Amino acid sequence: MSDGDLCFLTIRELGALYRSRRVSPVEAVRAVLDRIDRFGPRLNAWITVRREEALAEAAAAERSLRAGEDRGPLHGIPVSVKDNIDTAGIRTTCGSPLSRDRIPGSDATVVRRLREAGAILLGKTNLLEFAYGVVHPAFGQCNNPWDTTHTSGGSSSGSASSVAAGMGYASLGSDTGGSIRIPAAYCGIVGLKPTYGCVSRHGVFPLSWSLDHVGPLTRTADDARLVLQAIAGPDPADPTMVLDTLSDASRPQADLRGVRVGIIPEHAGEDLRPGVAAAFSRALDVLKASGAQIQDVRVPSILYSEEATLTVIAAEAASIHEGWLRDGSADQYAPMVRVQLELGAMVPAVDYLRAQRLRAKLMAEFDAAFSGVDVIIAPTVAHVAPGQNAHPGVAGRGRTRAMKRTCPHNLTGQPAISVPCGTAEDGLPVGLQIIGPRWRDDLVLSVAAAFESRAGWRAACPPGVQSA
Amino acid sequence: MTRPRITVTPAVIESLAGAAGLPLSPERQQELVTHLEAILAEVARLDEVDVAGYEPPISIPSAPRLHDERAAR
Repeated sequence: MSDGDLCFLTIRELGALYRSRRVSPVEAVRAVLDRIDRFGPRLNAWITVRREEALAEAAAAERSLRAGEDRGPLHGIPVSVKDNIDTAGIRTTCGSPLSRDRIPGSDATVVRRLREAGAILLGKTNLLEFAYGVVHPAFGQCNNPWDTTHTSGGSSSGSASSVAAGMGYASLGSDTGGSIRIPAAYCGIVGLKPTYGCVSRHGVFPLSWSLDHVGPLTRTADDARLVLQAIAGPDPADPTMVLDTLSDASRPQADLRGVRVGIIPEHAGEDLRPGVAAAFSRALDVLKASGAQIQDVRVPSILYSEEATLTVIAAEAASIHEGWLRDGSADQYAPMVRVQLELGAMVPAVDYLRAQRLRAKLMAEFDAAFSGVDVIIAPTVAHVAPGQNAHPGVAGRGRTRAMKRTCPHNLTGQPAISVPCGTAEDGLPVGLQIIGPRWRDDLVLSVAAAFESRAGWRAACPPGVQSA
Repeated sequence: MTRPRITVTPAVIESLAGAAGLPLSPERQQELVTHLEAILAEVARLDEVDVAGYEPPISIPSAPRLHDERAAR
């Protein structure tokens, strides 16, 4: 097996090779580090790479597995985390000069859980500054492995780019309006935003407390399931964790027969680029041929999701950053990030609360919709990955519309996953978003896995990072 | 009921920023005018939704801080 092939295995496939002693964790980490050396600079996906430490951890994993001390499916698997997630002793920059030299004293809960599961931390991935829609020039845009003249999206830009390019088997990102799912769609991989309150956010620098989620970016739905199982669960350090237990995420669904799939007409409409509309149409054909029942559902308030999301983010982010905004540090932000933060301080409280009240209405409408369907689907984004420097920001003049179909589920806290469903304009990937009721992460993962196997579209080495 | 469209001027920015404790130069105030007009227009669109009867989904924090933003400074 070539190093290139090794780097594109699934987590389960790699784990099987470890346990049959045909591949060792050290070999896997070396192969991934080699790809980081070759393609990392071109993609600008990494902020920190832990070369020696990762190799040492791989050697330790190898010894443990050989001694029969098996910690489960992530044992010895090389992974990364977005650089707004705290890592003890490793700088956590948030993609900003304001946090460039910060070294946390402890791991975020999700990092601790990955380590306890035996995963090997390769390093920290690039992101939009403070996950707020714009790249800071000091860190630079992360590029798309399908075409390096295009963006990998954001804000979990480096996580998506690195996983798509075979530089690690999974990465953790954060998602406030679509920041896991949008880059996953642009890069042709899987991105899961779990149910709000399912995965701890302790030690993750917030963008917007009531909208932030943490979740995995992987190359398959099954890999996302394995990572979710490792990181989910109550955490006394996160006051927003809900006591509900996640449905058993370990049982894959065999087929799609009888699954009731809803479509929100406003999300299947005119703003789709032709290639994306065609890919979505093909995805519907796959679902129908697999026995799924397709029907329209109504969620009237979804039309106001973007306005509600940007209102909530603007106000909460300004509150989080008010110290820097007031102490003379504001000129260190990227210009558009600074604009967004300053605007957020001027959003009236009554409008912030109106946006929050709209969330309650939207949740009620989705609950009603889910009384008639099992899942809802939509294209993740209406277009493919834009060209370079295409990060117009989340709020203010000329803002992005990329989060139209993703942000409603940050407002409601429902689980939503983006899975690849083909390519469109410029040969770039398209994502299919699958949304479920709150706490049915197991269902969206199962439907995603079933779609993946039926569609026959499995993440392969993208053209922009194929070996010479 | 929808609200009348607000005309944003540097003076409006100065007042709002002052109330929020943000030190903005006159040039900065001018720069933010069109951005604030854009975001306030978006925020005002929420007036079209009747949210009567829906309370904001607020929970009472009962555990330690999620992330101490001061630690990053």
